Amino acid sequence: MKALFFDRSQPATGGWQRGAQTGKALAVHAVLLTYTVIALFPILLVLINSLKSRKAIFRDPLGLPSLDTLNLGGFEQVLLRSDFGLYACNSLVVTILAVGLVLLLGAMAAWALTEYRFRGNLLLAFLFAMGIMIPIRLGTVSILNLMVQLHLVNTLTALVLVYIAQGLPLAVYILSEFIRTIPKELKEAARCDGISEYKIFFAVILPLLRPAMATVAVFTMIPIWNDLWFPLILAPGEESRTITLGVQQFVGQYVTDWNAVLSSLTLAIVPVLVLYLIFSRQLIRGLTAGAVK
Amino acid sequence: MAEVILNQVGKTYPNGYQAIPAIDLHIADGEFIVLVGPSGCGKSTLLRMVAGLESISSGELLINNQRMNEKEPAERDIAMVFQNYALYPHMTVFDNMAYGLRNRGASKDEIQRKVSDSARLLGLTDLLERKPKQLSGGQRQRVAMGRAMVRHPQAFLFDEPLSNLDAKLRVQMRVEIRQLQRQLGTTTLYVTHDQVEAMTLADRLVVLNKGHAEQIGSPLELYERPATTFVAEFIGSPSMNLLPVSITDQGLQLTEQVSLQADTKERGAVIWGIRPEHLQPCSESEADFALQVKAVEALGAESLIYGHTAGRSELLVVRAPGPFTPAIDQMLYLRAPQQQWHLFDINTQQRI
Repeated sequence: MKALFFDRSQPATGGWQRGAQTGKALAVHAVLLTYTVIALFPILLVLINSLKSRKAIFRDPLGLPSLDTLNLGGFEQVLLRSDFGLYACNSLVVTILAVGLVLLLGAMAAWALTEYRFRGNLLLAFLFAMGIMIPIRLGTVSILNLMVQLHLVNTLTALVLVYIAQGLPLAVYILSEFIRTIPKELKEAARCDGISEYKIFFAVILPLLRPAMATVAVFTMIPIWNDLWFPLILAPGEESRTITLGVQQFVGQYVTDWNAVLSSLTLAIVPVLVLYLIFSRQLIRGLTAGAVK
Repeated sequence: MAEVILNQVGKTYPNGYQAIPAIDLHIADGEFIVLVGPSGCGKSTLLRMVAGLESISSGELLINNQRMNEKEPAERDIAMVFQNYALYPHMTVFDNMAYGLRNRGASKDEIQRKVSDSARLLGLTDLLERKPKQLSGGQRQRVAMGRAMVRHPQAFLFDEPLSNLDAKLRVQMRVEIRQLQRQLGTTTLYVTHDQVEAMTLADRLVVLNKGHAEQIGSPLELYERPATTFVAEFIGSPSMNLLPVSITDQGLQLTEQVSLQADTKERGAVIWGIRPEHLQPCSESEADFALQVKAVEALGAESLIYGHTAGRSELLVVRAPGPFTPAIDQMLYLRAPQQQWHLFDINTQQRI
């Protein structure tokens, strides 16, 4: 109502400007919508085909499921005749543990590297930066050797450890940048208040890092959830399979159970979507507002 | 509440830059000391050294007769108020004020009592449940002061606490800070670059220039007897008129034609200073010299008149009471009573 009132009170000469702005907004939205459609199309395809019979999938891959072609056999196969629950649980445990530890360790490392001056500070920061540049998969063979020697093969611990190593460099980098923007007076005020360094980190700094940590969480979480490489190499055992690996059992050399594959993929989207929604709420909030003028 | 003593306290940075050579300052119990100077003069550094946020390179800092050089900020039992307030943004006003107490293991009742006492004193009682971002600048400033007050520290340290407020609020908060400090009787060290703030708040002022104390004294002492040209220019608004002149047997040679009668044994080149309000407009016959008016700022209660005297390029300022508006380029006749003169050595800039 208020906006409407304001619009009408604008002088008439502002009209062309408003028109140009609307045009610009439309163009931006068109681009974004196109991108959204392209990005969501494969997911939509997975969704609709998971509900169709095998024949219908091949006859008309883009068609919506009709009464004739509706078939929930895939979900039946996945939920009743495979260990989908176990796989989902494994994936969830690995992802949550890895993301949680990346956030905690990343924030602590970032705080130490930006706040304290000590010997080797620069070297450490440089090593973390190297971690962003060099993909961890290059070290797969050594990692496998290491895990064999530690007797961690076919355990979720192996995956969690590797994913922490994989996610930490970017987390440290993003969080360091963010910590630098926190006014130093806040820490100094806390020090004058007699608060210990640990408590300054956990009670003053960490709450302010929430938006940045949400960003890091999303960036870290998706590749872990989707990863096939390390589960296949480090934890292919029946008990420690993750969802992405579990799906592979429906992909055969000669016959692929497409209904089951598509159904399990559909189900695999749900947990990660929920996690994303949780983190993205934090993304929007600007928490430092009001700390300083 | 305590004495704060600085013995030859100095600061040299690891890169060799000497920010503060050595400062001696004895702050009595309950005294309000203002450190004032232009930006980069080391006043904030000195305050942070007292707080323990910056290390002391040389000399000794005593609070309550105890050496504090090596103590952590918390152990010094001081409270600091920052320019940007530095309130914990995720905590309510109550928690902001209570946090230090809670951390020192105060009981719940004690915290409740102390916080509500301070809140009442500062008029924050209705705002205790708010978050800092829901407060105005002046309210945040009060919360920052409340956070300092609740602990009843040995000393308050203020680092330009009013710079982020608008002019009207600044005047109001200035008065409030002064009243509070009197009421609580806490030793206070206050940093500002605003000389009006400094003059109105201080029991004693320390004028800092390039890391050393140019002069330490009460506001009026500094105003009436500035020890150096730096203090003379810095204290008072508009600044004191300072002109290099020479004194001969004929008197003070303002220009080649104009000489002022001078009862002084001083001879040779000196810097002559006189405050704008001590240049009195008068009739031509009584005048010591004349000023060609170049600009007039009429402020109602007073008028500031800027102009040149014939043969000199320096702009002189006259402060005349009331709405007095001479025309531009008109000659303004002035008396410069000798008892209001300030003479400074031309080389050392020290008062003669």
